[in-house]
Amino acid sequence: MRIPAVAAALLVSAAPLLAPAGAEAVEGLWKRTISYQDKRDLFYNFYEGPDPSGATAGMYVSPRPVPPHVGHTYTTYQPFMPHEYLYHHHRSHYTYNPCAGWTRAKVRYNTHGLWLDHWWHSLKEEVCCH
Amino acid sequence: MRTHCLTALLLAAACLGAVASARAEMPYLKPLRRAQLRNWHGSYAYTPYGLPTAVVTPPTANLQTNWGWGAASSRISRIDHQFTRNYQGPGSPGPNLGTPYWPQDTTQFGLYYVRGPWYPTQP
Repeated sequence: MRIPAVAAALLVSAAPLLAPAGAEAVEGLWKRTISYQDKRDLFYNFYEGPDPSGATAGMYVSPRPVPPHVGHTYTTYQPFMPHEYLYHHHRSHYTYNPCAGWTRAKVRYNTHGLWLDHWWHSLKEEVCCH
Repeated sequence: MRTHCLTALLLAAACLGAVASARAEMPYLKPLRRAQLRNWHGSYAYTPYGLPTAVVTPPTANLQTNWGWGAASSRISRIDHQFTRNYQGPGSPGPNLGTPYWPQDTTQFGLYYVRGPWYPTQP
């Protein structure tokens, strides 16, 4: 009877390890990350700085932080933003449309081992460029 | 026997508690903490722009290799800085050095790596 008691005590002491510390702590460790972007982010850029030096940098040339009456250019669809193609990941974009419910866009960024590149390269050698 | 069991239990609980407290900050947040203390750029300006210029790298990148002339010329350094959605104003870029006519190191070209945004670490 003593062994189950010891096991139960160990389980209780290990509970902080088994349970997540919080939703924000384990986020990003999941396979698919829910994006925080929404439609308002279409007109947003990404920035770095100023650090101690005071210099800043914008990731894209547009949109710039301008007054609302000034025209600007922007990427019209967040999943096509070039920085998303830099690494292998999955993302789901959720958007709430008033009176219409939620819509979801699932995006997967991967190369499948570049099999398409190999296939295209071999095709080029057969049909053209000789 | 009971004393030994209690001691073992206390030791196990102490070890588990130490591990749990060490996980208070996720590892992917440490580069951002380091980045607050250092500049994202070096002393040199990218000649076509006249300013230090950020080169976007994947947010999964952690390290970079810098090259230069001479013995023991290559070194590996961290890429701590990351683009975020915070716009802190246009900034006040200070005077920067131009790329030397005979560059000696890759950092003298004025291009510095900054990781692309990753949404769990966005403000």
